[in-house]
Amino acid sequence: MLRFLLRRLAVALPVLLGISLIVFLLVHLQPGDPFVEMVSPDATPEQKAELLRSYGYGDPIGIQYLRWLGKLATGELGNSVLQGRAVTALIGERLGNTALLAGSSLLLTLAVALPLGLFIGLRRNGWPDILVSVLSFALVSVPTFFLAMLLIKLFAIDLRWFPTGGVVTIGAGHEGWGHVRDVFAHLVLPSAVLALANIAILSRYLRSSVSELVDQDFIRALFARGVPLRRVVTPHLLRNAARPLVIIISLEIPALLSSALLTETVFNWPGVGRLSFEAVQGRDYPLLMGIVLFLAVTTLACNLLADLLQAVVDPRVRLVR
Amino acid sequence: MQTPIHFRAQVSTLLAKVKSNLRTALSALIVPAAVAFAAVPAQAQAQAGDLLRYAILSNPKGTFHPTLYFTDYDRAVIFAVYGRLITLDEKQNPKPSLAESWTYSKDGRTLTLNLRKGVKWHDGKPFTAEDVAFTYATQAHPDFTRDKPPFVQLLQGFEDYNSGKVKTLSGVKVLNETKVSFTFKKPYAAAFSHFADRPVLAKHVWEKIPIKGWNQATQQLLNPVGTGPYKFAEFRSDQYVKLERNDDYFGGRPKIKTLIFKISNPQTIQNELVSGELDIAEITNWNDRDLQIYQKANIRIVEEAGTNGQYLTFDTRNPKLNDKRVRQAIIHAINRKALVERLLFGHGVVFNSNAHPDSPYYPADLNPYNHDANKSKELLAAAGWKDSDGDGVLDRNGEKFTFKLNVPTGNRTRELSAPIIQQNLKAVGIQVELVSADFNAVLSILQDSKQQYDGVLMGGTFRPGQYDNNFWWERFSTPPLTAYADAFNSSIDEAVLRQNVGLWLKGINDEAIRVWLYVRNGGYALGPRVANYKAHPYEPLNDIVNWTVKK
Repeated sequence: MLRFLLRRLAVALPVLLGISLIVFLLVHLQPGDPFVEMVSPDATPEQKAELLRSYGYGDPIGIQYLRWLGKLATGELGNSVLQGRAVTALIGERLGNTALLAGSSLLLTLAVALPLGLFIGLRRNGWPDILVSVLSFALVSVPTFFLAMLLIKLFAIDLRWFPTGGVVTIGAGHEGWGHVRDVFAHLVLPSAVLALANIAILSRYLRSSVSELVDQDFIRALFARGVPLRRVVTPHLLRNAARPLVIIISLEIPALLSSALLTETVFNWPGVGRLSFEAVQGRDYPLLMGIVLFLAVTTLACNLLADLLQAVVDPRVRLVR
Repeated sequence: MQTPIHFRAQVSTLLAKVKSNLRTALSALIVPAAVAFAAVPAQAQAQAGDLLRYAILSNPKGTFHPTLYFTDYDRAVIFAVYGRLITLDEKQNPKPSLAESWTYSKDGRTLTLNLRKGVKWHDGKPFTAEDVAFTYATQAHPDFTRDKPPFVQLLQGFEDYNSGKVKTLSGVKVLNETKVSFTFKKPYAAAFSHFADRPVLAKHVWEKIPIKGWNQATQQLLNPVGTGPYKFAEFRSDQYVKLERNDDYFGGRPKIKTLIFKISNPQTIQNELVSGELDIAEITNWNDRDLQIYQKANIRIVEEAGTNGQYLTFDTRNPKLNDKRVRQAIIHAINRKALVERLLFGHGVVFNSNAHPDSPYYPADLNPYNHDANKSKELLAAAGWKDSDGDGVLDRNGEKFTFKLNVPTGNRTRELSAPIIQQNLKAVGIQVELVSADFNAVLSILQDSKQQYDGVLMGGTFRPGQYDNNFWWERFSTPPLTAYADAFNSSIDEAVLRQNVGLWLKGINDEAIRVWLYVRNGGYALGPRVANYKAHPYEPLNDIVNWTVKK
């Protein structure tokens, strides 16, 4: 197990290096630079070129990359060019919001998809199954932002059940428990948007898993022996059906973090997604590289988690080498 | 062996179990949802008591510093927190603010400002002429991390100070606690334009930090100390900026206690206004449908003259475009009135030179470049462009008149104008290819004089009183224009300014260095809580001390 972990970590390092190099090149080879919007309209081209040079953007790209890498080796992600603040501070203050959104949508997904998938898996081809299938296809085909705007129109504007966006009610100054309730109210719609498509996908996986299992000999044997229902569903049915789910969910986490951008924009949710969009628009290279690195590390960690969880959930899997 | 009937019975009981589990799961969600419902109505009442929520359309960069800021969003916060020497009145003339009065020396080169007495910074320290001198002199310092504006370049002693040869800028003098003078190389009327754009910062806060490190002085950048109507309280990145009333504001105690700049975006402001989560927001789109939605929701619209012009800039060094007649032909070919009518729904004006038509020295006799496809074809023919092979596209010496138009994304109206322009130019035989890229990429084309282009759609905000003879975007320069510019940048005589600015604007109009597409009218949507609102172009917050909100 330890050897497995060490080997994986050893592989992760060159992967991260490769990712950082590719992204660095892609981002710097794009037209534009951070000073495009920082200089005033009467700045001469020479003045702008001079400013760029003083920040090191005139150097060859290889040198710039090595400089960035060198700073990274000492644990420094640098400062945002446009905002002046440390990249770690900027990501840190947004991370909580994105994690909250991703986490709550994941919980919502599981809470609905598990029972739903189980239900339709057992009632395969019945009318609930068909209804859920149709809805699933619809939800998966509709773009996130469209779904978001639909929900906002329905629940926030027409019905006034939820706010249209943001993370807190501005100016209300809620504290303590009131603050938690306020954030919760703001969390419902964005989590729902992110969750809906995933519920569709996850419940379908579960459906096929469950319906396969129900016909298996060992399940029939359990019933034949008179094993109580609860003891069939939880340890045998669910545990086996959930095997692929565990992996899917672990891989969902990085997807949630990066796909939150559209949802965050429509709901004015101050997360890492919006921060990365700002960074791209403004060519804020240090901030961008910091965010990309963070996402890369998270993705690799989640992949590792998926592999480890597989071993836990399926005793047939041995973590070899 | 298990019978099928027995098995089915087991499955249906299992299903019943699952159904009840599902029900418990759902009710587990309903309870917190119900709790959330209970939380939401509180939102409508929370605004009772003296709070105004003003939308800004993107996240500020957090550079709350008068001479370092570069975005409109930081500017909104800065202009509420900091005071300026002068502000602009309805006619864009300087109105006394921190500067009570001013005089010019006999030769017109020295401008002496008499400052208001008894003004205090938000931290209690007194405001003096030292602060004023420091604010503007440091812009000329060699370590200042921005480009040097014309204002400082024209100050006496700039070169020596900027090169580091001397330690003080001779053109800026503190005469006493409330008197400061600026001496320029030649009389400079546009100094007031600079004062209107750049508020005064506190010397006692910023002199402690080396100028080279100002950009990274996070603590001071994010906690601005000013002399303005509102004190800085809190900045939650990408959420809001909270400001509290300055009871000792020299312009009068503001009636509204708390001002919150809510960070929003053009797609959601309408929703937020209608649902009562915002009080004031800019109108970014004059679409009739949007206006109707506002009307139905009891939201007032205030309209005013625009401050931002949209252009199709030409690279005048481009061999296709270096003939004035070709450029004029293109302006004639584009139906600019139609752009105003269809894209702006009539809420805008056409213009024909580098200033707003309402600006003081705008000549009455500019070439209007009426929409005239025939005139356009005539001019093109005179420049040698004819359709010799009958394919509908003009050609000259075997070269076809193709025109690559770079369109930046992010401004919907501008994006929509591109295909209309393409059609207009097709009608006179110019084949336009539309190329979209993000704003940063497109603007960098204009800023890089080594890059050649055909046309770029770009906008710019007018700066009243300031006429820059810099045509970097168009890579253009002629001696007559430079001469006019030199004349009006060396005089404070009204007659001299009127004549030379007029001639300069007329010269630009004649040279057709860019297509002046339209000026969109400005506007604000006011929620039902807002009362006593007043503002005018270039000064959205000028009258904020008198605004009130209903309970």
